[in-house]
Amino acid sequence: MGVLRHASHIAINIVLILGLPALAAAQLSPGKLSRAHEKFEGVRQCTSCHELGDQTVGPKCLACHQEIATRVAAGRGLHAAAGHEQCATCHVEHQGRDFDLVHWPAGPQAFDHATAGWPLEGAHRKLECRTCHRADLLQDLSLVRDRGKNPGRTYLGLGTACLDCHRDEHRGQFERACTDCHGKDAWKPAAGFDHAKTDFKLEGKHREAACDRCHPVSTETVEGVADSWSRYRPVAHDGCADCHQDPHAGSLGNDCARCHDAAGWRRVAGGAFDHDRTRYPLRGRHAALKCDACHRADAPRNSLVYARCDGCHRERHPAAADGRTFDACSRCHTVDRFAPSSFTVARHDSTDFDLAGAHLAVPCSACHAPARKGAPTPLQRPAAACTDCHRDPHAGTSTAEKAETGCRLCHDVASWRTVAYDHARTRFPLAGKHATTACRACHAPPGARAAADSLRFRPTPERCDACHKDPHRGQFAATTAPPVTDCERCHATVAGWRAVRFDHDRDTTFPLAGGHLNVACLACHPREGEGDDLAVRYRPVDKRCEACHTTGFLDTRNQGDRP
Amino acid sequence: MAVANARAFRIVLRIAYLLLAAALTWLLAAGIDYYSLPLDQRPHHPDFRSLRPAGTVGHGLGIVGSLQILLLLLYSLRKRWRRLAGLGHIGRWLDAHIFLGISGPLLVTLHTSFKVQGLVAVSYWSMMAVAVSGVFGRYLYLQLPRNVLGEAMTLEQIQAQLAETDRRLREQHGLDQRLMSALEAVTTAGGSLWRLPLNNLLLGMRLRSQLPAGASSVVLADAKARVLLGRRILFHNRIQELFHYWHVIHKPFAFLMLIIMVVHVGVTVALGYRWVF
Repeated sequence: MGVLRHASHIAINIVLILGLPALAAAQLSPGKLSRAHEKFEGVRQCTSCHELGDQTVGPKCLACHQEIATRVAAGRGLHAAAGHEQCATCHVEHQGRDFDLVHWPAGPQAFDHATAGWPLEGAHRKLECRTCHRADLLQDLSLVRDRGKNPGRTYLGLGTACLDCHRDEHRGQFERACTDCHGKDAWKPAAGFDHAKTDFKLEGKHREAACDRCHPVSTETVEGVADSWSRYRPVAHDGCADCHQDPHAGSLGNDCARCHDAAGWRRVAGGAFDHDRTRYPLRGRHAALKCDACHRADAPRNSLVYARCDGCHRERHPAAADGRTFDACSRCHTVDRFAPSSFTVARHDSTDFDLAGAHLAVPCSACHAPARKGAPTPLQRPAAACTDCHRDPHAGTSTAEKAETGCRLCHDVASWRTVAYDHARTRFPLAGKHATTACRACHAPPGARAAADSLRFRPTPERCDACHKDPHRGQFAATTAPPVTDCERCHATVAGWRAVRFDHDRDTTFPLAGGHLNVACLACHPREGEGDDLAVRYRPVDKRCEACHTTGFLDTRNQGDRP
Repeated sequence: MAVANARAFRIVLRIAYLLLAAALTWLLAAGIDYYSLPLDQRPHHPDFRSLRPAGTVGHGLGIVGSLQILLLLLYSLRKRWRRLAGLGHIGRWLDAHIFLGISGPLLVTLHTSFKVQGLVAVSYWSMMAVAVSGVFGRYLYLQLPRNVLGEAMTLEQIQAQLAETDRRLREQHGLDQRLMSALEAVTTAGGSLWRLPLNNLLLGMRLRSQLPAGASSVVLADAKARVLLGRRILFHNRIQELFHYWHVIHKPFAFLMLIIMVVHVGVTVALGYRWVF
């Protein structure tokens, strides 16, 4: 038993003694180092990081991490800030290979960048960390690359100047700091820029002009991406013509400010401008006009067509149908006044429409009437025919001959009422009483009363009964159709109604002889009827003697009228 | 005087256990948020600076626990150095040894912040092996009856004590042969050595069913003592053998733990980790 006991003691102690160094070594390290430091793993390398007798490891950390050491020595950056003296406070080691030595308590976005000596302001605060902390923006790649470190992981090496990260949008035009003009919240607007502090203070309309009107934008391709930039300097600004085109084409000199200022091109300094220096000296009523009466805001700039009146004035006379325009206002009008026109009757006579007779008394607008009130006044000859202006009072009943000669067949321009027409040219020549009878007596339309009523010439019936009333109540009408009465068998037109060409012996079957010659007509042809129907009975008459010769007849004959 | 000292010692020991329990409870409650974190997240916890092994609290726990472990070695000194033999009762020394053997490893466990892994865990598990074996040793220790001086009794002495107890049960308490046979039957029904602790625990209940109803507590205590003595006689040789082997386990691990602890402390002090000093 005792042997066994001692043998056990000896065996265990041998194991312990032999294994002690390894176990002791294992005890020295509280855990594996991170992957970045695994090369320092091992009991012989403790002092690569640890200072004997002093738990701080900082000095030896910085001996390797020179990129940090130089910043700490310079008092720059997060590691130089108070409370960051001990590396192991934040970068805890011996936590295993995969342990991340850089720990962000609330994520890198929550990092107080001010502790790094460069507080994030404005738009910078909205950026992801790696938007700026990129390998391609590192100012000194040797800091990390020479040490075999991943440039994409470091937060060091960025410059603090704007151009260290940002491209120079002005392409070296300015030497001043970006922040002199631009804020950190946004690139535009450049709140710190004051154009008044430049050589060219913006005034008037210049303040409203877009920047690129004076500062042209150029486009270039950078790394395959099209980018544009504005030319801010040099920009010629010695004279207006450096930017503006001279609308006067140099005719008024190059001192624009003599008449204009920046408040507006159209605002011409009163009295300072001599219009006589232009190609259009102001005369007549033009001299009294205000500038903007012609140089209106809505008129095209620099495009006044002063050579033609209609450049400013509305055309009062529409173009002729044949396309000829009336562009010689001065032939009729002057700059002193528009009306009255200098277009005289004599000049009118030079046209193809002489003014004569009543036309002389007619106002121009009676013939040259605008289509509507306010519309241009046509100057062209309105028409060729009288009826183009005048109403045809005869309603087209004139003769076919009139269609060839017009109204002048009967009328002239002196007076409408003066009629000169040869009725003999018709099929109804006027003779006797007809020659002295007023036209209206035959040509008045039915029911016409007033003088203004139009005469009607066609159709005009040529039969007597068309105009005259048959006093014989049709006793002499033809017995064959048509039952027309031929008045001229007894009455002559020229001699008059009463000049009867009737011969009782010739024209009747009862020749008058003897005492019948002395008998009054009415003795045999009594009156019948009353009023308008009163007529002498000529036929039929009872030719038997006893029809007349009775006692009563004799008495009657003796008491009757004699013809 | 000796009895009074023993009582005072027990009171002090109980207070010490209570304080230890309270301290451990408070430390666990305060640090549970940290201790329950995965290892790779602990460095980011606010309590990392204090509760990590090198932290203000963690390092302190390690120092106190280590000192307690060093102190409990005095028990070995007391046992081996004859000049100290008269210094206090060996049982109290053992009680103190056990208390420190419980407290020290627990405080060291908190010192490790439950970060026990890899080869570095050898130290810790050595310590825990010593502590656990101590518990086992304590049990074996109890299975070897001792005299009033705390010295282990021989088998003959135990047998003599058993005979004395049997006599007292028969003559003073009036147990007849049937009851004595029943006690013997209970004694031998202790089962194997590994089931013995449970059977001993249930002994009181078993005896009540064997003894007449209304048997006094004195009778019950004597009967219990008789059974336990009988069982210890039965397992005496076996326990004695285990106890020898236990020393083989307990001491080398303690030795290993101490060496590593010294190295551990030496390295940390060399690297400047001197706690608050």
